[in-house]
Amino acid sequence: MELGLAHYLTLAAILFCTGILGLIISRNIVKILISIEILLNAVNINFAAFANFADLDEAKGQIFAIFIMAIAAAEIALGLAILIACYRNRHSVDIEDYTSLKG
Amino acid sequence: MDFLLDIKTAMLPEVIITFTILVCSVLCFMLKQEKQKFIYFISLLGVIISLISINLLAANKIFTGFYNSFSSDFFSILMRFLILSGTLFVIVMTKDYSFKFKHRQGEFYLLILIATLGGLLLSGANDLIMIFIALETLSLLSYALSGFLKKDKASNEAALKYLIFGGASSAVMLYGFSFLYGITGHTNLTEIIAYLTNNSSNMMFSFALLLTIAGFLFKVAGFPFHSWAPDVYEGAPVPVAAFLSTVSKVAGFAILIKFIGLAFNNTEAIGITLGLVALLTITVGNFMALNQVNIKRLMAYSSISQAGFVLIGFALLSYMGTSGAVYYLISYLVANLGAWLAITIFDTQTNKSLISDLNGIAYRNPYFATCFAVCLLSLAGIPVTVGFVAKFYLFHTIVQMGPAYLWLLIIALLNTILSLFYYLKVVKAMFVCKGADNGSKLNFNIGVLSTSFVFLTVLVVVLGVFVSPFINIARYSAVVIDNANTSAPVSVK
Repeated sequence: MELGLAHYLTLAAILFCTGILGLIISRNIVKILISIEILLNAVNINFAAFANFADLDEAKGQIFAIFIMAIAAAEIALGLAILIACYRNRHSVDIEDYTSLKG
Repeated sequence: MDFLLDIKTAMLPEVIITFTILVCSVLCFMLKQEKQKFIYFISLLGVIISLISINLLAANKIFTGFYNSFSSDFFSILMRFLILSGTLFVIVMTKDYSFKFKHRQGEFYLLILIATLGGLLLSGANDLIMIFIALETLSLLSYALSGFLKKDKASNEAALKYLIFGGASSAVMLYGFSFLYGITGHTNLTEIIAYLTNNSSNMMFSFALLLTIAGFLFKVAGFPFHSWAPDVYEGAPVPVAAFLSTVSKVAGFAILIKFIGLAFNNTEAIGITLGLVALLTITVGNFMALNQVNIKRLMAYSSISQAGFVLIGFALLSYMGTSGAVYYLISYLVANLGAWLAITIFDTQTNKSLISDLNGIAYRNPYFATCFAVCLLSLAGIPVTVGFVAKFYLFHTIVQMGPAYLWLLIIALLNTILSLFYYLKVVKAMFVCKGADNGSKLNFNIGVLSTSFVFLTVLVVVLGVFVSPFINIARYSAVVIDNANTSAPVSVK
């Protein structure tokens, strides 16, 4: 069986759904941050696949994927820093404990 | 030499802000704790020079540079002007508030300037990669800013919630980007538009566009993605909340308008979807605002519903609608900055933020209460203020679009009446209710804070009386957008 564009897109879609599912059901904040990473990686697969099949002359998709990786790293570094600040104040990484702002 | 010309005609404000950032970052390390206040003046100076330099940009022609990834036209210049003036007032707000930041005062200005740079780049971005980078610059710095009070539990929680929502929504936006790229084979907006005029659009493209717009709706706190706003506005430091509800929102709208431009000659479906989103945004914002007791949360819901009014203008998918939206955005910015300045003054001096804490403040500080009331009434849309003119002009554009859009008009009108209730609740607290502590009086002497507050209030009234110049500006910028989206000049590299 030849691997085509559709296979890559399906893989990306499945990964994306996994990420969304992780965002919804996980209570641990570290898991939520990992879910966001999974979402961004699904997008990366999409870009790399499209660059390979739809945009042969230039590699804009691959370049975009590299930018996404860099920004995702920055985002997760910031997220963990914020999480550490939160943990120092509340001693918990459970999202259900962060409910003081509501109304 | 060509490169320098690019900078002079298109990106001068960005360059000046970048230099200010560099100077501030060096000063952050060099200055001792008690001298960090100096950075406040440097950043203020940088923003003012950058505001002045906008006049040097070539306003009457479209300029593209940096391999077509940045385009500077009249609309983008107007948005950059709004963003920079918003930042100016936000920096002014921190004058007395910054004692809460303790030894990290300097870093605050550094972060806010970088976020502004992201906003400026976003309003001129013309390439998907550029849009993504600029948007993330703005977002990441906003997360850091809203968690700036490290020891404060509410501030922590606000930053955490904002980061999770923001990360998820930017991933959704990128998923949309990947399909836009896959369908058209380009990342440049000009080339994507050119592709669209040559090919008929399909379902997949509408799907990609909706995913992308969802990401931008998060930035402007539109209906299904609004739930972060009240929490973040309440927990974040007050100047940061003001920054999010003005600067960040303007930048979000600036990019949203470009993407809706992609749908101009495209589908009815996107127009109707946006109309529904706009109405739901207004209605949800208003109903949630009705029984708020915290003034910051009330302003958050109010800014959600105001964003809905701007979205109505976009949903009309026409030049008239866009001009209404741009004018509404200007009026919203002025009045909202004024209201947030009032909240900052109150919060800094009393450390309270409930509406009942404002009880009877008109007897102690009549000038403060009057100015605050004028700003709130402008947000509600009472005549002689700019808010009234903006609402009137927006409804006028809906009527001109014909009977098909009557449902938009009726629900928006009903919501305007509804919104009066909660704005007047604050005014009533200030002017009618008797205060509990008659002793405490705000210090509202002549200073930068009070002067800029009075200036904004006067601006609200003056813009409400002298209407036509700003409507002309809004119309002209809408024409520019319309031209960019339909004629589609293709210029590759």
